[in-house]
Amino acid sequence: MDRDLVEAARRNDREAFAVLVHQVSDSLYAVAQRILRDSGLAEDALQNALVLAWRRLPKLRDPDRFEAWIHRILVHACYDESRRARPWRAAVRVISIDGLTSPDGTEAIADRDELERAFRRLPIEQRAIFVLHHYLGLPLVEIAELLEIPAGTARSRLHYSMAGLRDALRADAEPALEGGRLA
Amino acid sequence: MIDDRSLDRSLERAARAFIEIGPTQAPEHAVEAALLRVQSTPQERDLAIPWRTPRMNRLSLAGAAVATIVAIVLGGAYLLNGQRPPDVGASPSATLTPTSTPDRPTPSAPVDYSSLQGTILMEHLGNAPDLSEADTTEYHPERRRLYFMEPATMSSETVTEFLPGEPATGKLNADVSSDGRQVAFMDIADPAQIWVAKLDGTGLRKLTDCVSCSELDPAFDPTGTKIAFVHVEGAFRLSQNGSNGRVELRVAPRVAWVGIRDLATGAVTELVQTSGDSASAIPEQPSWSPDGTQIVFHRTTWGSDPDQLPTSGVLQIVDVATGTVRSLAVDSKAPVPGDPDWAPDGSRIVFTNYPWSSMGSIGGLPEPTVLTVRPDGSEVSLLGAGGGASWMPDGRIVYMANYFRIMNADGTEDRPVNADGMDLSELQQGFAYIPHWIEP
Repeated sequence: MDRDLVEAARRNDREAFAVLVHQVSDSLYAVAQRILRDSGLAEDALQNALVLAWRRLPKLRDPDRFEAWIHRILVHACYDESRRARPWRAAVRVISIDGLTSPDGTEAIADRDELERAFRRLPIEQRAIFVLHHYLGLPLVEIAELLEIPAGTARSRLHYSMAGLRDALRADAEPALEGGRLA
Repeated sequence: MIDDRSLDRSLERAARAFIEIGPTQAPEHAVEAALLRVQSTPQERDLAIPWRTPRMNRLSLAGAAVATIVAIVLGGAYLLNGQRPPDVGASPSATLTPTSTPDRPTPSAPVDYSSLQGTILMEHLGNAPDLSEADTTEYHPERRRLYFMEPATMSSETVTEFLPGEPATGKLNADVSSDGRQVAFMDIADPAQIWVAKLDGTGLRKLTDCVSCSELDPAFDPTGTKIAFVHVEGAFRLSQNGSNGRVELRVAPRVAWVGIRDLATGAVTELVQTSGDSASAIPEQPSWSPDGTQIVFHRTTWGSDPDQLPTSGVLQIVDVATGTVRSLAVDSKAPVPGDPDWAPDGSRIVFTNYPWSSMGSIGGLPEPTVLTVRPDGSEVSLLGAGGGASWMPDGRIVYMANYFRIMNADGTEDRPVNADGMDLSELQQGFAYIPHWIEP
């Protein structure tokens, strides 16, 4: 990231900011779409994040931190979008049923559709940690610094994201119950 | 039986492969749209006094600091006085069609947010906004709570819960008396009941113990001595537990009406002409006129398909003395109007198309919009996207559109409550909506 561009953008240079935007927008959108699982919401989050970044750019103390800083804004924009579109459901009890896993475990790992459903059930904050860690490849310490949360919180959210995926996949695999008996 | 550790490793590999797949390029139109918005968006700047300035000694610096502070205070007072909302009795802006939702303007002059006096009492869903609860994917109906937030410093650190843990079944659909001293709300119990407490949390009491009926949606009259409410028999309104609208039918009789309860004596007056079949069109969310002579409320009609949105709705006004009911014709601009609130000067009623308090959920719904109408049904005015709107004592409107915002009665001077404009992003848990402004 060109430090001079960031410095210029901080001084109200919209052309410099446009260059920066074109450099980071692909990464921002990719992260947003993977967190929100919806292209329309991801576009909204991207737009809102870019505008907010422009507004707050004069307050960015270290121009070298621009990429991390704008990704933080993007993650929070994703949180906002998820709250607008979040459906509320009654509590779902997860019932473990033996015999769902095959001997080597790999066939028990669901196909893409099942993973998609499971991932969507995760709270947005866990999804964000998961994407930043597994898609962007950021270490947890760096994620914690980026989101300005304790390292332990980042660690626990990643842990719970995997636990949530596992539980959700098991719930999906549960056979339908009818009248208290397996249908 | 495969051990969990092996399963986890396999799962992690599969999940990593899963997250890799997806778009890698931002849509050009989205980027260009953002850059277009940037063209008309000013940057935020801190006011800074140079640490070292040639030919300035310490006294000059101190004097400059004092002068700056005085300028900010005077400027803030001027801006607030100069930006008082116009007389709400004046003609509003031209009526807009629902398809042309106005953009959110950015104020051109800086606003001294620290001078916004008052407190917001907000309704909240989900894990505690003060981060005191662990993440969970389960939805707990009792995690519907009320919180106080200070407008200038809205964040997880400054939020305060109103009556933590009381009642255990959770709280929603709050109303604050016009003198700002009492709060009424309903619980999530089945059947639901109404509670009243003082703003400081003392004096909590439940108003009834009806075992076969629910009492919902309390609203203080202008004197704070009576409460309008909705009485429901034979049905359970699903929005109470966060489900998306509709009612669950139960045993007959299925009837619902708007009533008035005297807080001192407990005497109840049933407004008979508001009565309706609780299976199809429960009256909801009453709000008093400032002179106490009328009550506005809404009815939402749901179709027979439980997965479909409401089919229609209506705003109605009941005359307290005569009991007569009339409807306001707003459906051409708001097919499902609800959550009405009567302006402090009596001249207009603000409401939401697709009201959240009836829906229970914000998922899968058309974008709600905020509108106003005169009590005679004339001059329906679309103010913009948002919901949970209510009047501030000074005649402005506070509402929710991603975050809490305020605007004049005609939709002008729209701005976020908090200077950062992203206050709800600081609430890392749950979702806050339906703000009530309480003046100090």
